[in-house]
Amino acid sequence: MPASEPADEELIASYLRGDMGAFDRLYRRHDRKTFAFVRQMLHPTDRATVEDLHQEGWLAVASKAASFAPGKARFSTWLYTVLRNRVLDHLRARQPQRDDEADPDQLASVAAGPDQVLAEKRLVQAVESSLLALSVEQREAFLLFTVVELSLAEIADVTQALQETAKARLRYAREALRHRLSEWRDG
Amino acid sequence: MAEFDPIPPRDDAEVAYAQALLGDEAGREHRRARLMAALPRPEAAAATPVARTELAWRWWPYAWGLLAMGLLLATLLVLRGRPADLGQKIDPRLAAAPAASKPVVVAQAEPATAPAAPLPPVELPRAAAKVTAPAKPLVAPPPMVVADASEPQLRREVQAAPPAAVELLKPALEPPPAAPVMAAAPVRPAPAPVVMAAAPAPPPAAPATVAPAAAPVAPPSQSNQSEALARIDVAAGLASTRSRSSLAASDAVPAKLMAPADATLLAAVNRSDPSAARSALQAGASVHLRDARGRSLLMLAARSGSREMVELLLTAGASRDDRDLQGWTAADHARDGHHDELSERLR
Repeated sequence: MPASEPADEELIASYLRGDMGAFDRLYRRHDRKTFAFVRQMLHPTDRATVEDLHQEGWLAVASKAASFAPGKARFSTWLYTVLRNRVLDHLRARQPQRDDEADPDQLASVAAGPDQVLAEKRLVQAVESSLLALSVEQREAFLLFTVVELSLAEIADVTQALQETAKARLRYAREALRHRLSEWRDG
Repeated sequence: MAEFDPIPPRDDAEVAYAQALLGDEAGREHRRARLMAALPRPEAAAATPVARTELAWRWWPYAWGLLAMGLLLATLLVLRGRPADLGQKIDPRLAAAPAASKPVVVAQAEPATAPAAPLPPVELPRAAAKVTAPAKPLVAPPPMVVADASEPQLRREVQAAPPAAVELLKPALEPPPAAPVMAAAPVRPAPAPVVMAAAPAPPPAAPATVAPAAAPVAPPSQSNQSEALARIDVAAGLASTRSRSSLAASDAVPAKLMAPADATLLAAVNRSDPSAARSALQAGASVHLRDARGRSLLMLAARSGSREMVELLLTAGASRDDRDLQGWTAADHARDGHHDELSERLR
């Protein structure tokens, strides 16, 4: 983030004063990572449901913006706490899905992409299939570390766990995915 | 922070995986537009902080209003309480002092002549007697001038009185009333209540019809009690028709109930009838009776100028050294009534 760019805390304060553009800038700054996090957490849910849940998470962020205390936590930590709670509520509410239910968007993108895109999609597919073997806690620890790039302390804050617990979850998830990732690395 | 993190950094495969996820632009603008369309506008007014001083100043008018109301209530309470205190300090006897600028003339009662049907005196229960007692007014009575029952004195006061007072004095100048209505408190200590005989005083020629006060009286039957109550009402009505001319009706002295013999003696002194007075004294009347202004029978007789009555009262034990509330003796009253010889006799 350039130095001239306002911090997340300033943007959320501007939004609370009625500046809708500040929230738009905040969304643009985080939406790729938040969507990836929600999408991988809900895999193999269809994309429309993922998008709905992603929007619900951001609307919850907007409605709870007044409760955000800048002195207590970073905005990114608070943001993923809200999104994670929304995702976990959805996971607890939904029925277990069969393995043959695949994401049609994912299949379409795989079929239509060029070679590089196709390789990346295959990598994502490979990781996603391995993520199904992990628990929700291990999956969220891996995604928050790899995709969102949070520190171990921040992961512990978001998941409301001890730092050692978060560390153990992340280590186990990375060991489990190492085989898949090495296969992709070896070509 | 990375150097304190014991977790190994992301390897190439993990970075490639993250980039593959983050590089997915499919539907991103659509998601943004959809979210911004559904985004609620925050309530800017509620989120705007209110300055502390502004909030505090909003309370000042209420605080000042409450303070002003408290002061107003306290002032009203003080102003309302002051007359009550002053009223309690007024001596009722002083209220009846003759130095009044607006006189209310109260004529002293005179005994009745012969009533149409004289009723025997009946001793009534205390509760029944209280029925006719005038209620004590809540306000302080106006000052009044007490006119003597003696006719010359009355006429002198009528000449000096305003027309309104003359109207009040007229009943006193007329023939004597049917009942003695003057309340006279005996000077001697008498803890027992004086029982009023509401019956009219007997004619001068037949004073023996008055029963002695000490004579035993049988308890009245129900019919006798009703009859006595009716007589009390008649007496009260007569008293009121005489324009409150009785001292008993004044506020200075509450109505005292008198023994028949005392009433007879008082009436005899007022009309200077020594024979009736002698009979009353023989019947047990007290020679130490006093009116509301503290005047004794001897003072009344001295003021009327009846030497025979004065001698009779002195013989019966009246004291020439007694003083009324003004500090006057019987001799002073005689001199005030222009009876200088009698005044010298009483010194």
